[in-house]
Amino acid sequence: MSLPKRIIRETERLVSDPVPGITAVPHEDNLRYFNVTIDGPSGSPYEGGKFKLELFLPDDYPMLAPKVRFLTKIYHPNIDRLGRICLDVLKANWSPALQVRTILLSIQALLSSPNPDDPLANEVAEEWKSNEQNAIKTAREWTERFAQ
Amino acid sequence: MSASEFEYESEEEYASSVSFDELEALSLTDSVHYTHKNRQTANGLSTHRMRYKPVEADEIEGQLKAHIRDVDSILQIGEDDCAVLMLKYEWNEQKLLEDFTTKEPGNLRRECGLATDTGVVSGLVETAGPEFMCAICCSEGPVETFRLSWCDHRYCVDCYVRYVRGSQTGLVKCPDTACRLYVRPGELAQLSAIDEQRALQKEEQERQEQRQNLGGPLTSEQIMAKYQKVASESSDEEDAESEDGEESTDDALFNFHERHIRQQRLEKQERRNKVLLSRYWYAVVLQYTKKHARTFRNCPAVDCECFIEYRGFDSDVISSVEEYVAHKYIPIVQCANGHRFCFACTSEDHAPATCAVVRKWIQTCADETETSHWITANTKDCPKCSSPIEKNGGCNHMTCGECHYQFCWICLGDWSRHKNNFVCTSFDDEEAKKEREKQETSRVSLKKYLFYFDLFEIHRVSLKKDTEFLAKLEYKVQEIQQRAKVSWIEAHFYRESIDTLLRCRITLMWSYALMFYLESSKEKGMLEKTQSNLSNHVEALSKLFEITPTENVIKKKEMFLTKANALKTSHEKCIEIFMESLVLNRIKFVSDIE
Repeated sequence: MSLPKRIIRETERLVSDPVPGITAVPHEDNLRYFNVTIDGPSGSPYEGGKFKLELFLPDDYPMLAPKVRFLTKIYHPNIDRLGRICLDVLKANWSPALQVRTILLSIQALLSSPNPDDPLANEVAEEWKSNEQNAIKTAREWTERFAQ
Repeated sequence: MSASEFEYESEEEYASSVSFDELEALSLTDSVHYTHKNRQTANGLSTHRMRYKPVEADEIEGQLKAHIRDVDSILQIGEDDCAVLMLKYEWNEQKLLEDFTTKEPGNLRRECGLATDTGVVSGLVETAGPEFMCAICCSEGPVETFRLSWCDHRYCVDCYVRYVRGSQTGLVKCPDTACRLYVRPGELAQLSAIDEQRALQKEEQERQEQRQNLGGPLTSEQIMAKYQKVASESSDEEDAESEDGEESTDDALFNFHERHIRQQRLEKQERRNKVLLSRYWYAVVLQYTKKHARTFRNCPAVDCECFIEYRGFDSDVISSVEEYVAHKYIPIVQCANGHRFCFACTSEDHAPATCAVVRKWIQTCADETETSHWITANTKDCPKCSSPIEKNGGCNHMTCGECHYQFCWICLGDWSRHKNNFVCTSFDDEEAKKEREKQETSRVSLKKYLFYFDLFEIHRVSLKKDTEFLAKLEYKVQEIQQRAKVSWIEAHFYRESIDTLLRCRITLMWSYALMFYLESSKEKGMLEKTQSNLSNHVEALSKLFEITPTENVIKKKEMFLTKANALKTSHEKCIEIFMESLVLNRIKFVSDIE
């Protein structure tokens, strides 16, 4: 199946004009499948970490949102044990005018500002709300242990 | 309403004896249906009937549009904006009017995804130049584009159409995430129109290409050759079919019939799906009916797009569906396509079983508890290691396969006590007694369950087979009817007989499920008699359908009519008798149903 123009354009731009702190490289066998890394944003407990993600563009992309998940273990209230991400733009608020680039930026922003009120990993969110200091400490530890 | 109520001496007397209120009620009855036919059962029990009206999606669509117009006559903001507001407020007119008067108009409009500008706009559809690139598909101009009235986010028409089509609700935002505007029906109508026009153009283009491939108009010789080719091909097919004998012809006919029905449905759906605007309104209707789930039910049959509108009760006592069900009535309704289902639980027709019985029955059938029932009834546990053991023959001297413990199957005592004597001597042993009693009770309830389950299954399977078999035959009869030049109405009895038969099978099926939960009593005995009476009538009519060759079916019309009528009467009576028993609480349920 030939690759839609939209995907070619986006890939070209991701390579020629990359977002600082984010890389996205398409797989050789499957150009709809991307290996992604996101650097932990400075000022967040994930600072200094390099997080691997996988991203897949479904057949109906861009009418459907890309599928993204973390491959690196991460302690975050909106990311569960399997690396699935709870983010509005990946679900109900997806629009075909959004791009891989904008989605990855949103994920990076999610690392800077966790939202324990809309949790995916309940225990993490619980900890985040009851003892934020401790939660941030754990997140930092995990970053050092898993995201180097 | 029975005919006698309309027997007036003269027109004048009739007219003068009816008050305005009554007139209104009368005009209602034209379109309103009842969950059951009579106000009183044959035994004089007055029943409470639920009123309902089968409606189709376009009727509701019309009502909603009228509703929007009404609200707009107050708000005066234009029907398009009003439609978005109503959708946003989930048809809560009062809340909308309240907010409209209290909130700052600009804020309200912004919150609801409406532009603060108003007025007439044009140029939603525009051909963009080569500098344009669609942000969705990245194709470059010149290309036809679409935008909403009050924003400047242009996308190519194809993308816009695909985008709107992909959304399941009536509230579709402009694809640009920073723009909060909703697509309004009027704008959608423009997009829909251009989409249709393009589809037509495409078709025309394809036709032209085909013609070009053929190289200009055909000469009469070419047409003749083409015709002969097609004719010989189809006669080949016919030969191949007729060689396979009776059975496969039946199948072919059945398949044809099936295909025909399916095609009709598909065509209808396709038409709705094709036109963007009607798709949009269907989504709006669905949102509305879901919001008003107390009044509307979507027919649960596959691919059926009909609705049932609840119209209250023919009763002073009952005023809600919940109450109705609590009184053990069963609100079975019939949609415009003839599908019968329960308004309360939206499962298919399940009279005379109440909704509670149906829930319980389905759960019982699905539950593993019955499997364990079987295990307790048919196996005994090894007294030592507790492995379940099924005795599949041989003597009572059992040796456990797991722990090799030897025991007596009858008293479950150690076999060493039986060594010199094969007659079990410890019959009165306390342990053994308990064990036996436990197994006895579980065996009785298992047998009862299996008994009713078998009956239920038999009818369920028959129902399925009958539906297939009769659909085949029906098509055949239609064919015969055409060949014998019998009018449609003459052969209509056949369709009716099928319907009656299928309906009665459903009733029988569920009556067995109900029976399982009833305590034995005189009343239950009476219900069983009614049931077996209905069952006999069903069998009698069912037998008629075995008539071969099918040509004889038309000749046997009288017989069909007699049997079907007898069945119908028996069915009505059966439903009534069950209803009386249930509603008057004359019959007791086993404790765990309520």
